[in-house]
Amino acid sequence: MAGVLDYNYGYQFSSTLNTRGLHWAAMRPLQRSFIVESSVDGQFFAGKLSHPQVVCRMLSVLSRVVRTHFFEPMPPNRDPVVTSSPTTLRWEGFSGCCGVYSRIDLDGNAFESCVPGFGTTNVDFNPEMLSHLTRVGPSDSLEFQISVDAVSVRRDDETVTERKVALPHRWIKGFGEVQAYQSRLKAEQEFSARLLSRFLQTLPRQSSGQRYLIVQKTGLRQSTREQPGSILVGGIDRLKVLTPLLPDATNVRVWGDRGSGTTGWQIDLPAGRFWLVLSPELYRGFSGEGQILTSLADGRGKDIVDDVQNLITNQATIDPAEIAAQLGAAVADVQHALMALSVQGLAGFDADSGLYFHRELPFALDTVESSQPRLKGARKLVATGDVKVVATHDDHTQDVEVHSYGTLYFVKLRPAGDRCNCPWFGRYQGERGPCKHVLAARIFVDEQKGQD
Amino acid sequence: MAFEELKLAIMSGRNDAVVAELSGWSEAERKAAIPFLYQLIGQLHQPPGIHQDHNRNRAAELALFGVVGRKDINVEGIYHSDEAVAEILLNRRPAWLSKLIEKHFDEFSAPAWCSFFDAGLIRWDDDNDRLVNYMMWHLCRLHAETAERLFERVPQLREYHYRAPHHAHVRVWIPFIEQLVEAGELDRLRFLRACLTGLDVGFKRDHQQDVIGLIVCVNPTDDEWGEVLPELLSLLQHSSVTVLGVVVDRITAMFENETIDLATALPALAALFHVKQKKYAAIGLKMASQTVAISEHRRASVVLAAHGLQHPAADIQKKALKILADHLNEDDVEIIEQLKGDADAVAATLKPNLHELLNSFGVPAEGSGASDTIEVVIPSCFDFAEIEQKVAVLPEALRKTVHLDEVLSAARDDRIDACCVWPIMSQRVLANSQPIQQIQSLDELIDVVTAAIERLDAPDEWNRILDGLTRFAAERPGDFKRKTAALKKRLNREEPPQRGIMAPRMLYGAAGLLKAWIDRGRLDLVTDFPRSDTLTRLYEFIAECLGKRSPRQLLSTPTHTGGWIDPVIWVDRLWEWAVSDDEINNADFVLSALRLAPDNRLACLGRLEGLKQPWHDLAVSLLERDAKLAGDTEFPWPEGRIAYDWYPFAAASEFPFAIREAVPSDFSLQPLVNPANMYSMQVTPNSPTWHYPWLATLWPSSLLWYWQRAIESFVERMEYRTKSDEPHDQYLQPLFEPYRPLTTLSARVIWLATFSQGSSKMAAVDVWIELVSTGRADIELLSTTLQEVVASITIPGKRIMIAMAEVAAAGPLHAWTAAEIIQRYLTGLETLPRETAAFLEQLLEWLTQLGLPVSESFSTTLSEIGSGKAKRIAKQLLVLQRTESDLRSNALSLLLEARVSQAEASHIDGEIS
Repeated sequence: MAGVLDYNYGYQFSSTLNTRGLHWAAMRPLQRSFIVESSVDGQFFAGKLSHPQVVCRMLSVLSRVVRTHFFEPMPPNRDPVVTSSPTTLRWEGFSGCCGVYSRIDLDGNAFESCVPGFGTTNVDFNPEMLSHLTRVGPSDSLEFQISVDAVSVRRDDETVTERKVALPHRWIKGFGEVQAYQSRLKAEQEFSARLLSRFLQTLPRQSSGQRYLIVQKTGLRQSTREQPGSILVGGIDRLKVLTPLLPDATNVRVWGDRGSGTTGWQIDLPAGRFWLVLSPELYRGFSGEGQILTSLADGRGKDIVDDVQNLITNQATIDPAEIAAQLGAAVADVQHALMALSVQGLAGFDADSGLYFHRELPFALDTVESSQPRLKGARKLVATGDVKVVATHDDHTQDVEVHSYGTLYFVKLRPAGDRCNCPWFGRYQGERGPCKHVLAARIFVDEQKGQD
Repeated sequence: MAFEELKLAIMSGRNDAVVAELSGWSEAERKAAIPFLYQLIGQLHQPPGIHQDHNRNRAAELALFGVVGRKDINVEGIYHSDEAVAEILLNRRPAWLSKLIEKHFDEFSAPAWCSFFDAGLIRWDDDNDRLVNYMMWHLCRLHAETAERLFERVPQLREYHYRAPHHAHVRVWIPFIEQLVEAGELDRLRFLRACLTGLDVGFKRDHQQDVIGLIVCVNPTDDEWGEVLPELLSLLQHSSVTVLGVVVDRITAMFENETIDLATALPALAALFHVKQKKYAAIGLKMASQTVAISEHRRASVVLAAHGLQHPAADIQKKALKILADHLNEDDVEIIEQLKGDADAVAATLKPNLHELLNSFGVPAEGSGASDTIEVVIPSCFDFAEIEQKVAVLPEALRKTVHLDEVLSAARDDRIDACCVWPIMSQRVLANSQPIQQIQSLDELIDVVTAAIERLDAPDEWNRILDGLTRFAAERPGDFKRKTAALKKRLNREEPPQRGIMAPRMLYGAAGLLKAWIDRGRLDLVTDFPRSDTLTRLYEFIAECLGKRSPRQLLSTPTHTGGWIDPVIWVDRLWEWAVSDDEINNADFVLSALRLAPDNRLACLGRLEGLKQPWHDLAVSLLERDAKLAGDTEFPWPEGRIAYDWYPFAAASEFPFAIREAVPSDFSLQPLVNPANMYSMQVTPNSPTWHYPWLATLWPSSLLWYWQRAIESFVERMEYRTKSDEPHDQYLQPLFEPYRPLTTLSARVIWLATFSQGSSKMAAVDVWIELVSTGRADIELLSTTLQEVVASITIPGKRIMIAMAEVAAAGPLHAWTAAEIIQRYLTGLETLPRETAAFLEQLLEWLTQLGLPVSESFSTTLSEIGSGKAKRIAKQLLVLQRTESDLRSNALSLLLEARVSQAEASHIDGEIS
């Protein structure tokens, strides 16, 4: 049975939510005359769409992502998470394999009028909702009403409502990992949607390996070799899921993280942006990546986590530098604190703006940390006294021995990158985060420093 | 005595007696009974061969089931369980019961399952596919009464089938849906909608076919299809051909029956131009052409035709343009505006038609206009005279080696077809290779080996490890054992990891060699290595060094990528050995000789003076190309003499090509090793990626055996129609070395890879682009080998052209080369292939963009085409004229630049030029 975390929401809602709503600053003057009544308890968003058909296509594609396991026929997830803030309504979700993250950012252009507040919920997209979305035409009137417990989509006189469901455990881990990758993405290439559409037609049904994408004026092509300007993409056929969006898309921007091979595909549409973030390889899900483990283990920024959480709550965008200035803390510490909050799903990252955003998924840090087996194992190794520093070359360079299950592992802590001689590290060379022995060594050395 | 009573119950052979007896037992009592029961079961099965009382045996097994812990529960027993099993478990209620049920609940029989459900041990969960599927499969299908009971208890089950198409295992629902349809109890429209949205779930083809099976069960009426038209249309961009086929067939049928709502359908049909299959785009245009005359649908049809220009196929674009030319009017301002922007997307041959259409509305077309399918690559020099001056200052010998004057002369005549094959030994390979960093310390060696056991990416890494093992053979610091403890554990595992250097059937005995290093383990040559192999003997030598802890610098360690050894370093190593009292290992020497780079050879000759025999003469013979050893030279090992005789490839006759006739002329290094030994180094479907290019590092100057192996692998793959993506693309790696000229065999490998799928085809396109960019694509050789390959293996012409179109898009020289090869290929055929039109269509686009006519010989071939689409295109080709073209002069400049670079990278007789 799928592991789920039961939780209760404790959202703080804006006082404007139970009255006739606010207008966005970005809202076009002609559209201000329409105001959606907020009549549902706990409702934090209501809005009428200006490009209903395009938004419905975006939601259908997002729904397809969350219902798809890209390499095995597995039971699907169907639980997009929707987060509202005064500037953006975001829909997010992971594929069944957790290797693809997608997000829809709908800003002022997407709505003729709306009552936006702060809030988050997650719902299933059942067949009735999907069918409802496909029936929306360009001239139809479409409204969203989103509350703590439900999402309703009203097309003319017909309304379909989806209720809140429990969020899969993997997603919580995935949210933390994917934002760590997203914060490292750099804009690499930009081209027309037509080029991507033609390229997707040439893709095989399934390609599991990593390929370099070469962007030329005449088109895109895959290559087995790295070339100047090429982008490493794993499981590139996963991009096919974007096909229905491309006729409406104006522009495609590709973001890449050269270190890991993670790519972000930003599709600009008249109604907003659609993001598809691909894990480095087809068989790698974001939830198992371990990019945030070092942050969690070293405890840096831990003492300001609560302060940072207070400051980011109900903020549309979060700038670490700004928070650091407010707290009088180092930006790096704030980033570590945001990392810790992202593990709880509280902070996401938008590569386009380079800023974090707030998301309200209240889980206790200790619950989430216990779901990180490597970190749990590392703490256990430290607690059982299986870690020993055998040589200290300087403050940042130590050799550490870690006994685990009857085997002695040798860990080198180095400023240029830690190493371990265990099979996990041998296979991934740190690409999927540190192994538990490196984490144990780090925790042990930090603890020792603390004691000194 | 409880045991005795249980025994009586067992001996009665009655399950109910066992259940009753166990019902009040505590866990401690059950635990205590386990040995007793095992003993009893043993006795009951004795003596073997005697008739067994199955009831008694089964009762005994049931009793054992009732007392053992969770780990010892016999899962098979559960599978064959009945109510008795459920009763025992329910009476016992161990702490782990819910976990056991959760893990095995779909293995329990229906009655047992229902007992658990009634007892609240199985929780109804809407999202639990496994649970629901079990219920449908086992209960509805096999135990209707139980199902009915469950429907009463869980009313939402009656709704559940409307979600069935969205679940992973659809097939189980088909009988149930059939029953509902028959009984008229299905909300057909609701279910049909669920099926259509369920087709959009990203499961595999099986799932989609099963959902289609559900739709077949429902057998919708025309009216019902009409109701679900939006859902149907939303599937028009489906990536599955199966789904797309069903949807397009249905829409076509509705169109022909006139039951389709055109206002809804026409805008959605634009999606057909974004799918790969051309036939669907043609259907879209057919509908547009039939509806454009209906006034209320004219505009939507014209918009649909305008979308047709987005399709990459020229013939689709042509049909779209025809509809636009006939029906576009001045009121269609937005469409005309869109067409302006689409000018770049239209095929070169159709550009004039689009411009004419736009001009008729007084609108000039946008876009570059020159070339939109060929990438413009800017050469560093456009000035022909300047390039000629560069050529003039090069030594004549170098110009001759790379046929530079020939190329220049061809370029003056506006041709690109000069020969570009030269001996690899005329090239300075070291300048185009990366130096390999030796492992610097024991710590680094441990790190590298630890990583390489799990993962090995670079082909030179194993060579580095062999070198490191031998050089650090004597180093055994105090913490060596501790640092290698984890490594040792992995190597000594019964089933060591089969990755990296330990990959299956890869390097026999890599584990043995590493054990010899870590633990002074013996190298078992019988099981670890095939005998009489040069590499075997080298590994044996390394193991000996490790055993004696006697460090050595191997002669055969490559100094540069590609497996090359710099002769200067080689001579240094030779002297190092000569001054010591150690014997040079023959296998090490042979391998080093095979890896000697052509660079710096003459410069090293003088440094051999004083070297003892026979090494002096052997070294001189190797460094002086073409030198032969005197017949009476003593060989320090018997294979040396054999190696002097060319060893014909034993299996050559098995290949589809006449390989024996293709012994290349670029063998300037006499073979010093029996190639059959290397031939045994096979690649298999399980071979790791790095193994392929690593094989090429054994004898980098002569890859004849390597290309043979590659041909065999590709042909085998094609004959067996293997779909798995084996890393055969790695065979092509040596062709990316800019100094490596094309040979007949390597050209055959390129074509075979080009006709493959997946990564092999992709790598082939990369090789093509690289060959053309570096001036190594010999048009004559490539077109001849294409004929040979196509004569041996059936290849669809479309596949050739898809690959060549990708190559041509890389630049003008690439497009020109592709056009020349295809013309020569078709000219050389006795009968033109069935798909000639596909070849000609693409050729027409390339030649139009390059401003070139067809060649004289090809025009004869074209004029002989009698009928069909090919004839129509042939006519268009025959009227092409040579026109001024920036693209063409750009291509010529690129070719000359590449060839000048090749000349500059060559050397004269081993000297650095």
